[in-house]
Amino acid sequence: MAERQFITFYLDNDFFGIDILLVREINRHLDVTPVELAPDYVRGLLNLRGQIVTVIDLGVRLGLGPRKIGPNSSCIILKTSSELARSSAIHLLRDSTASDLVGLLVDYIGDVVAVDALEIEPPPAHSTGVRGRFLEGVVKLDKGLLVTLKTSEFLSATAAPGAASV
Amino acid sequence: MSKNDAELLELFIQETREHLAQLEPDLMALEQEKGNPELVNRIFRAVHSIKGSAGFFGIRAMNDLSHVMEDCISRIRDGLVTPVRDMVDTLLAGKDKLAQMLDNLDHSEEVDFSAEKSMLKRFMDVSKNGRTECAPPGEKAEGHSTDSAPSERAAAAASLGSTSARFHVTLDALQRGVPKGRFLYQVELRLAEDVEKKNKTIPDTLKTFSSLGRILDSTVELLEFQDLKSCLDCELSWTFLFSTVLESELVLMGLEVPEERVRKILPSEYPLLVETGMLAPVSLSTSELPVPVAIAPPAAPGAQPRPLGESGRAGKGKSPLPAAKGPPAHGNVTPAGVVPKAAAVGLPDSSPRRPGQAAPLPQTGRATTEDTIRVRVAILDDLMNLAGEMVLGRNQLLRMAASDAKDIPGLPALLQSINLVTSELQEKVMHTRMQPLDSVFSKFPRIVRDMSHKLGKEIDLKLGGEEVELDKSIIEGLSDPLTHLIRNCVDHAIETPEIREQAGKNRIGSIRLSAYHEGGQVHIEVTDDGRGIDAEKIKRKAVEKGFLTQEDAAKLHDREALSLIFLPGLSTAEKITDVSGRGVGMDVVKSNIEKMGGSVDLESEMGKGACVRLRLPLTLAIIPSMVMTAQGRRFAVPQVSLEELVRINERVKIEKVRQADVIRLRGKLLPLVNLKDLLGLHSPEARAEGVPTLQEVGMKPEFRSSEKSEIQNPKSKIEEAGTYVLVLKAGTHRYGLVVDQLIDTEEIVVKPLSNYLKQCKCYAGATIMGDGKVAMILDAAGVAEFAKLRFADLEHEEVKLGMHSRAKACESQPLVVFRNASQEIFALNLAMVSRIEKVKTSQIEHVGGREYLTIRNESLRIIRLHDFMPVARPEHEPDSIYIITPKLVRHPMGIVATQIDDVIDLPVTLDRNSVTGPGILGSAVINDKLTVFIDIYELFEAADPEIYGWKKAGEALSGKRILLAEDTAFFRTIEAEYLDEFGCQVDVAPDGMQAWEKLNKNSYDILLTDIEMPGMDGFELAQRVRASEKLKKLPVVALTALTSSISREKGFQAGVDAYETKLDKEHLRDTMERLLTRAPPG
Repeated sequence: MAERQFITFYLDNDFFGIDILLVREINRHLDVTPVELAPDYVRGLLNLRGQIVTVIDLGVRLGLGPRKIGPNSSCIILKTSSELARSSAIHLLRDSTASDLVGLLVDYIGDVVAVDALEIEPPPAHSTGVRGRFLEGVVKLDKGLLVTLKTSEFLSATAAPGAASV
Repeated sequence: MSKNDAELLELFIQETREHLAQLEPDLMALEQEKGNPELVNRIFRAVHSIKGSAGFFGIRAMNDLSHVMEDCISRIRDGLVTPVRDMVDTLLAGKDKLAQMLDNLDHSEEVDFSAEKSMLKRFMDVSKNGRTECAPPGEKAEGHSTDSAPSERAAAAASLGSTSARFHVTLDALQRGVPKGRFLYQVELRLAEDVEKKNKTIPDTLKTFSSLGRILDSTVELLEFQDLKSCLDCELSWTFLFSTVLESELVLMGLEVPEERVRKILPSEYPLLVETGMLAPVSLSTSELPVPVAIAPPAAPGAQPRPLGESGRAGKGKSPLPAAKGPPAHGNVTPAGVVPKAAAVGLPDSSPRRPGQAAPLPQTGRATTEDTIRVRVAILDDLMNLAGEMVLGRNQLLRMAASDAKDIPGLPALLQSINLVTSELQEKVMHTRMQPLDSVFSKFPRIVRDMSHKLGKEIDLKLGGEEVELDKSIIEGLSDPLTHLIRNCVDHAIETPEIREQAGKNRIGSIRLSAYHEGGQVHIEVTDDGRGIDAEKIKRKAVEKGFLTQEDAAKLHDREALSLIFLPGLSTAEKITDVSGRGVGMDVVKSNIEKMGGSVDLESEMGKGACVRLRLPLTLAIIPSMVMTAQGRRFAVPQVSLEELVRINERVKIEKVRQADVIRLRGKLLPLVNLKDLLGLHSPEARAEGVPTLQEVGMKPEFRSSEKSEIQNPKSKIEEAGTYVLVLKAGTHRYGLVVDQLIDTEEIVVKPLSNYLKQCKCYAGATIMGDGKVAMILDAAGVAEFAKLRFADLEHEEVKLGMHSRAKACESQPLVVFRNASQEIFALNLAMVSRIEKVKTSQIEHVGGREYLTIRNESLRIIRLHDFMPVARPEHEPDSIYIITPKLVRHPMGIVATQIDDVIDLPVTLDRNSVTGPGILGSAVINDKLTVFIDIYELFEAADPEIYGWKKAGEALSGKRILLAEDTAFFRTIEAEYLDEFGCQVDVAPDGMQAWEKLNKNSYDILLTDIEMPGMDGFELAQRVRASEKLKKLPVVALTALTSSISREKGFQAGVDAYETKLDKEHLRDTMERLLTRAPPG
């Protein structure tokens, strides 16, 4: 039985998950340099031990409004697509990441949740709007619904709805 | 197993690529040096290696094609055939097909090479008929070539003895490969018996070999060879020349090979080995009987090995080769993927070589195993990043430790050594990414050759400076622009031989591609001796396309007209032969080069040729930049785009022209871009809080977007303390970027932007500052584009504002005010200053009693005022001083100032009498202080009489009557003084009108006139002089601070004989002498 693990996090009160295999690390150091004229969902750039991380405001991306950086804010740094290609787990994933180093700004990091792959249900039909394609599935947990995200969709720069803020 | 296979395949691909790369220049050289056996052998070995290893991996198509090519080359080698152009063409085409297959191994079968194959066969058929020249590749029947198969096989079989497996070693290589204390063995390895049956792998076996000694050469042979169908089931015999310190018994044990297949070779047998290629496999005990015949030993009976590749590949490989000729395993089979390359003596050297350049002989036996290793580029990139990080870390460390370092014994020394090591480390890491230009240049001989054949031209391409190294990323980016330039040269610049002869040129056109270092940059020049570029045609074209008005075009200099070729869209619409050849995509070339931080220059002389010069930085990764802030945010601008810095204050004000902000910079209007407004920068919290921009406006009026606040409070920005303008160049235009504060110039490590930010054209990248924060690097051209600066409008406006404002500006003098000792104040006209730099006193070097400083890789002599002038010397030597470098002199020397007070713009009345002395021009009261003006020429003359030695004014000038028309009192006084010194009689006029009156009243030998004067300007005055019957022969010299070529041109049209820059005493005198001796007034 295939078991999948998710890094869970909150945006306001919504509960989301990203496959742990896609995640490089979680960072609480959020000294983000904003980049003007960038798409609205790009919060800015971050120095991660000498590498530049593009920080994406997941709230803006998912249509939940921009995040405020608070004491619990965290940045989920994703593996790059080439890192992913080198990892042995590549064939387990039906998802991919970007070629650049990307971090996701979220409000609060939850636990790592292990889920049987069969328990993941497709997202409900009414969430098929523009943002609906960012969703991969829904898992019923004791404490509520966990929405798992499809990184390849929300990372694609070209498919951005209203990408430019200018 | 699969991993080993993959590794081997990888090696095979790399090695084959190298072989192919070497093949191209060699094949081309073959055409010239038909009889060079070394060259032919090298080609043969390369093709042979490819064939061998392709067969090993079961890549049928490659094996098949290389086989035919090899046959053809072996005929060349044996002198049966002369390599004519068509044959070389076909071989080159074959080489291309091989490369194509290699690029896509999975689909190598789909590459169609039947044309090459039948062509090559035809060449060989011809050769068999005893003729050495090839018949035109025409309608020879396909049947003909199949006919030849049996007889060929027979011929090959007959020569079996001489062509079967042999080593390619030289005596020299043997002697060096087997030093004293080592023994040489000839070891035969049977792949099935010795490797597979013993459950070993080829890499394992090779490892065993290399742990015991060194492989000098190896050769592979198929045993029991009948036809290709069965060849894959045959035993593969692999024979090594092996050098080791071990005695025979130990070799047998170590390698696990039966005794009969190992032979010890004594030094006395080396010549025999070299001659015959291989010694008979006499067992160790009977090695006294040399049998100089290379005979493949019979295969062990019953050996039925499976092919080494996967079974799937073997299946493919089983399909018979169309025309089997001769045993495929003759010569030096060196499965490139198996033998460590450099260990195999006699393999074609992989270092790139030019055709025509003497090929190193194999005797040099390059054993370079230890010198080079392959490293993944990704690792180098990581290393580069890490080294950059280390530099940042070091900077932080040094800054933090600076204050406390003295308290801890030993720490300063430690810090210094870390400092040095880090710098060196970074430099070395950068060096690992450097590649010689050869990797780009080497493809051009082929391109030129193919194109010129096609176009019926004769072209000689000369390469130079291929060894010059550049960063890998730049090398990669250079390929397309250079290809473009070279193609342009061949296609359009070089004429056909007939036309060239008519024009009296050499039939053979020449293109020269050369690279060299200069001023910390790499220059690459593409020079041709073709027809050149017609500036007039370009102008016409530009007018047609609406880039220029007819009037503007008429004003353009040829050189300026040539640069029009870089405009996007000029002549891309049609075949550009009508713009004599250049232009298609020249804008692309330019933008590509500029993207890499380089620049492009074009020169041409009609009928004689053209030269395109590219200037490139050595590396993209680290660039010197100016770091500044706007709204508290840091940004960097690459120093290459920065021309100068201007501070906004009461004297330099931001004005508005047609809604656009401008400043006047030395009489010219400079459009401004305010960085804050451009990027919509507001307080740092605003974005972090996620409050949209529009709501922000009501809350914080001072941060709202530009126009409104400016109308409400137009002065607020200007008066903000510390507003600076960075004068940036974007292509041919300049503009000013308004920022709040300047921090410093820094060497920054450029990090590329992610795809999400690619659309923001304003940024060139990002960097990490010393404190670990990220800052954006601005792209000068991108900012101009984004701000939609309309340069043309401004230029128009400028003409309108024109003379009036300039005349006004001329009234006052921009002055640099500085001090040497604390009390005395000195001044220099800013027009005479090239630059002012702050340097550390410790940087000064002393040579022969003089002081020198190295700035921008040039050494500059520096002089102190008190050494040559009657002025006070500073009380103490400060840590840092300022160096003022003047311009308009032949050999600049730096003048030392301990303090720069100000740069001011003031009307000055020079008093020549109160303060006098050597090097002193005069004095004036500036801001209520007595200020001494320096006479640079006198000062320099005192400092270096040899160079500035003022030869006494010749006879030519003494007593001559000069009229000096000059509206500015300052210049008038000084220039009159100079003329006086020359021995002339000077008459002065404060404007053009008065000068005209004086000219008509009195008689003069020379008229010296300023250009910009109220009333009648210098142009008009010159025109009137020329128009007048009485005065038309009077020499007219224009004195100007303007150096633009347009105004120069205008002056010459008006009748000016010569142009001189104001205050350049030496030139002025020379010019006057020249004019007077040339045209004696009369």
